[in-house]
Amino acid sequence: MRPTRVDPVNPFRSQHSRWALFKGLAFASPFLLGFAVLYAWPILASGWYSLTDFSLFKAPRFVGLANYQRMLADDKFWKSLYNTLYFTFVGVPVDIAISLAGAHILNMKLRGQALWRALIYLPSIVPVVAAGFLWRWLLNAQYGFVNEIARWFGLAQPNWLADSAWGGVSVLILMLWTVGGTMLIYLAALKDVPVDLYEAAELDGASHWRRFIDITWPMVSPVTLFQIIVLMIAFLQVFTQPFVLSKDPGLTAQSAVGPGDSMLTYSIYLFQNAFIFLKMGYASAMAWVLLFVTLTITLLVLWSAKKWVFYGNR
Amino acid sequence: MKQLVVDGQIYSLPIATHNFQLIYNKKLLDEAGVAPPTTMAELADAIAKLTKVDASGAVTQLGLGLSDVGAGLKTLGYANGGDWNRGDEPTPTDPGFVAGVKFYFDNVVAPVTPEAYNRFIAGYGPYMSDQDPFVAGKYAMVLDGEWRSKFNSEAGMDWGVVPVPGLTPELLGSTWSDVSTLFIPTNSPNKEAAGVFLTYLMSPPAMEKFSHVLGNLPARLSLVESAVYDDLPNFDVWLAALNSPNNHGLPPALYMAEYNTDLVSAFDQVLQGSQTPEAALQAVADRSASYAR
Repeated sequence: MRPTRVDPVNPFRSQHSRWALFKGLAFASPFLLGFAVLYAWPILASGWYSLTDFSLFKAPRFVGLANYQRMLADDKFWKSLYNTLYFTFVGVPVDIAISLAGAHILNMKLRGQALWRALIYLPSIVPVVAAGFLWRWLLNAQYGFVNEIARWFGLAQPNWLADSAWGGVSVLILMLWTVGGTMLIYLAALKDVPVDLYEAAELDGASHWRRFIDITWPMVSPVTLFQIIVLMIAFLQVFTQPFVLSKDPGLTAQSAVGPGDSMLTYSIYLFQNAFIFLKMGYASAMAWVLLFVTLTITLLVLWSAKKWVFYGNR
Repeated sequence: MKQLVVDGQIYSLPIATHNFQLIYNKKLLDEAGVAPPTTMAELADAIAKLTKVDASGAVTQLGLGLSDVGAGLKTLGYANGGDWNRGDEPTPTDPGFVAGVKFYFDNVVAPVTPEAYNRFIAGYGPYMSDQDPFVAGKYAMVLDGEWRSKFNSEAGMDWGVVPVPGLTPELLGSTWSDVSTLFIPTNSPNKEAAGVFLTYLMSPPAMEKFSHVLGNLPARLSLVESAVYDDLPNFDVWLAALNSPNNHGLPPALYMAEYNTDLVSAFDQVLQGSQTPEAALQAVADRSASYAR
């Protein structure tokens, strides 16, 4: 039978098609306009500003790559980048480990399991600023609840928020407080693992650890890849948690961003340059470098995924 | 900030000013038999006598506290004959300024150790609350502004204030002025009406009432002798500084925000004991070349 010939679709060919295209664009226009004005234009503008000296008071002056060169000699730029990478490379693996372990517990047949699941997720719906102020009290070195518990057990009682060795750890604690969100996604992934795989392994005498390594880990690896990328982007952009934790008690006086600037993250330093120091050009250049760093790490994770992510029958 | 700028210039009007003096807790000084200091040597001696540490090495009372690290250490720099912004340029390595920071570290932080100092200040409550360390009797002395007059009195404290001690008699009362300003935003829909209102607020009678209600200093020297401030206890010490040659002003420079941020970071490094005042302030000097101008 002779195959039916299908003409390529040309939306401008007939009045009817043009009307259909117009209607389609009209329906999509809220997004298209929003994307153009709120995303595309600022992205392009920041690219231009990154090549200028721009203080908001004067018209931008083209300086080529000077802003990028200045970063090389800016000790606070490196400090903020170091702190951010430290939070990311410590925080993401710990978040994944706690989430996966916690998801196993939430997957057990326990009395009141629904309540435990709700409680674990509860911190994720607490506004970050409110949580930050709560943890400022909990981590207070003199009368904080955390040190009080440490005192009961005879453990060291760090000066969490005023000692440069513990400032970064305090930020990590606050970030990991919302681990319940990741945990619930893992819980859903665990429920998708076929039970017959575990039963077969059990019949073969596989230990709990063996079953985790050979069944659970590969089966949830696509979810792990997703979690790593999402968490990594969140950690690379962390702002609110260190910003709230590092404010002086009265929120009035100017203070360092944590003891020894140990909570100075890349996003906070970018914010300072843009809106406090009014160095909009330098801040724009920093934004592009953050994009490059995020893109590079994401591509490396995706590249490595070929070796450890298991997509079932594919 | 953009709303203050017309033709590249910042325009605003001063409604009130502020300066810093040495406030002290009368009860604590009396108990220790210490007279309010007038020289840096007397201040150092008073700090030593008024600082208390328990058997475990924890600080229980600090001789001299800072309600605002940046403002306090800048004031000590002036008291030592220094200036952190000499000639309208950042001068963080000015010898007198470095000496002021060093004075605080050597006399307040080092004797109790930076670890004990930082653990003590970690327990501070909010500024100007019942948990404020000066109100709670944890600070015997503090460098602070004129707004404390109204607050301390309302808090029922027995307190006094003296001009900031100086390294030499000529430097007695060295301090610096900060200014509260009002402005007409460039996007104001009715600039003329706003102008009329600001003209009224800047007039002596209105400014007198405004600053008195807030417990702030007026931005007009003609109001220094006004009797309206007589009901604010010890306010005369701050008022007198307005006419003092040792009261330093600051230019509204574009780099100030970044400079202050860097200074506070440097002060923090010193108070943490991780850098010497000289090294920390040299780092600020190195950064100051890239400040926005």
